[in-house]
Amino acid sequence: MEELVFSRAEFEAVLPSAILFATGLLLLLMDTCFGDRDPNEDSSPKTHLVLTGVAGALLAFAALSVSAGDTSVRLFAGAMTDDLFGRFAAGIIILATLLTSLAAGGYLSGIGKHRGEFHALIFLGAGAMVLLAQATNLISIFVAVETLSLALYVLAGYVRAWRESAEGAFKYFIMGAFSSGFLLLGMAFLYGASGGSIQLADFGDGLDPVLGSVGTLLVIIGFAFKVGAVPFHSWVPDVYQGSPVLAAGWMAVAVKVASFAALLRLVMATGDSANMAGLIMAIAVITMALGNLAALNQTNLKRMLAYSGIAHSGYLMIPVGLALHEGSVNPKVLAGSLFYLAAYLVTTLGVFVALSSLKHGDRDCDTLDAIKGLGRRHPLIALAITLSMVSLAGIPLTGGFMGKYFIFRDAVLGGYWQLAVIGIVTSMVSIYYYLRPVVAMYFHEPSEKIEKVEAAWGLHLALGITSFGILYLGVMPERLVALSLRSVERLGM
Amino acid sequence: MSPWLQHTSFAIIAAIAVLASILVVTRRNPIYSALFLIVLFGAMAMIFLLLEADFLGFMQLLVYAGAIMVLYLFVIMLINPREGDLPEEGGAVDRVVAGGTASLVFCLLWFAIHESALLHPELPAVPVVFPELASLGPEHGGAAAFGRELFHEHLLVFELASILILVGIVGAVHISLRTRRRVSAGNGLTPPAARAEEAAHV
Repeated sequence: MEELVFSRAEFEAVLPSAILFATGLLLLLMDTCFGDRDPNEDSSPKTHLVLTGVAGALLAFAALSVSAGDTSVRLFAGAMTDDLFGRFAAGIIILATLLTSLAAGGYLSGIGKHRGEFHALIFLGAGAMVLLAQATNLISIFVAVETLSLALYVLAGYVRAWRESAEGAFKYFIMGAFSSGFLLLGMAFLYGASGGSIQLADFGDGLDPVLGSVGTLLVIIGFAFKVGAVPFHSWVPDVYQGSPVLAAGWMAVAVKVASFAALLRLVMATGDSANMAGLIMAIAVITMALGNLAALNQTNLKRMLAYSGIAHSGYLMIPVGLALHEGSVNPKVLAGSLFYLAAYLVTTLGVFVALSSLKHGDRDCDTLDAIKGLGRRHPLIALAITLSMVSLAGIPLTGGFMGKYFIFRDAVLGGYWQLAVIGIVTSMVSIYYYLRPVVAMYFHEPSEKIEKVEAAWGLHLALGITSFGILYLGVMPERLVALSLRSVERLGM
Repeated sequence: MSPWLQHTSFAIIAAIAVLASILVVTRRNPIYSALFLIVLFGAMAMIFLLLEADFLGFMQLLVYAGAIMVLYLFVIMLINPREGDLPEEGGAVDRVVAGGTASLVFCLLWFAIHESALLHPELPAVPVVFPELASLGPEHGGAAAFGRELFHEHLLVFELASILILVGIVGAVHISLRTRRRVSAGNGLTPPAARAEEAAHV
């Protein structure tokens, strides 16, 4: 019987996700062992959990720099790779987890629902997301998708007492199981099309044309569900509205990063043999248009941000389509996606963390009416929300602008100026709904009593980091652009 | 087993599986659906056995037809739906749309398999390398081969699956846990008022 042997490269490749999993387990145990059984337990800030989570996330982030960087070695019999692309995506996921964990103490104790499960699920889910960004065979992709989805279903229904939370979680669960079916069927077809291989690396050698196309189509549908691209987006607004606002922010960022990383790796592997470029661009166009138009008349901020998230999935689809266009696989344009995702991290989490620092009794503060007059009551939070909204709308000097600029520039250079025009027009439309909360905050009298959560140091710190990130990426994007370009140069398979 | 016998038995078992799965989704009473699901699992196990994947076939029977079915039946028993409890199904329009979409997907998949190189060996550049059953060694399909595959080739996924189950358990406990605060401090029993409130909550 042969022995199990780990190579150093394998150990280094799983280190970030292993640290995240270990932190998740530690958080569960800590909450069980040290949780004081007093009646107000759910309202205590539980600083020890927050600090442990932050330490774990920082450790995982540091582990990203420990790497041989040799992408030619097969790790775990081809189940994962250890390239810069995967580490870039993992870095965004870990940062999102770090900020969420930092903000969770103040937010959850504020609404009186503070339990260790929230922290543990976020870390276990993040570990699966990091593995998904590094996965290179069909089985590891599928199991990672399922693990992170399961964590998300629970987080969506985290607050059982809210009616819309149960509704959102249930819808998410049913739709998610349905989309996993598409994903699995597509993978079965790809397995057949490649002649019995589950390795993405083998797909480049030629797939059966018909089986391969249908398989890729089904897999794209599966991932389109996960990132909320039109026409598979109907669950997104309900889930965001029902989720605790902080969990919704983490979902919005981390799931998009992990799913797009896996999708990019997969379409790069199947290449143009599947003729999917046109389809992906069509999805991009309707997703941008529908997401932005549907967001226009939302009065609930979580629903508005949900439709905005759908629209951003559309922008992110553009580089995927461009990379495949005209039969040549061109990974260079994918750098635009990576930079966009990094900018999306600070921008989106900024707004969600800012909303997490406010509450109405034990409810989220998530309507346009509720934030009226916030500029006078809590000027710093209002400023952070404004900055994030400006960045989401893609106005210059913010990270959101640079992200859109790179994607549209690549579209024009690639000969698809129509895509860029549609993108710019829909961005113009989006300015209307992104600035509505800003107007409400600064030009309306305070109508309702807004409370700020106590123990908000973590929220403040997270808000400071996101606001700094938005401005930094908007003014000095060069270093991250260079890093994202280097990341896509050699995709490991 | 001669190829003819193998093909015929596959055809019969596949027909049973398809029929059973159609019956699973068309029955109104969930207990019938669950029973037809057992038939489906049995047929699946036989297909695995035909492919000489003995261990997988028996696992299918033990785990799915045995353990998971019991779970299904427990859930149905606990919910105990009566005829009146079942929600009204959609009208004619809904059925036509749903049926149409399903048939469309079915046609697409049928087309893909029918046009694929698997059925047209004369097409060039066919990467199909599925091994012949006869060429596989005697240990193929046994527990040892299965274990080696699971713990060597798929070690990472095996470990990840344990995280998946852990997430499932943590989630289930969190979702189903009653809040402790409702329990009165005195005798540890739930006061009637809180119990009623809890019942209304459910």
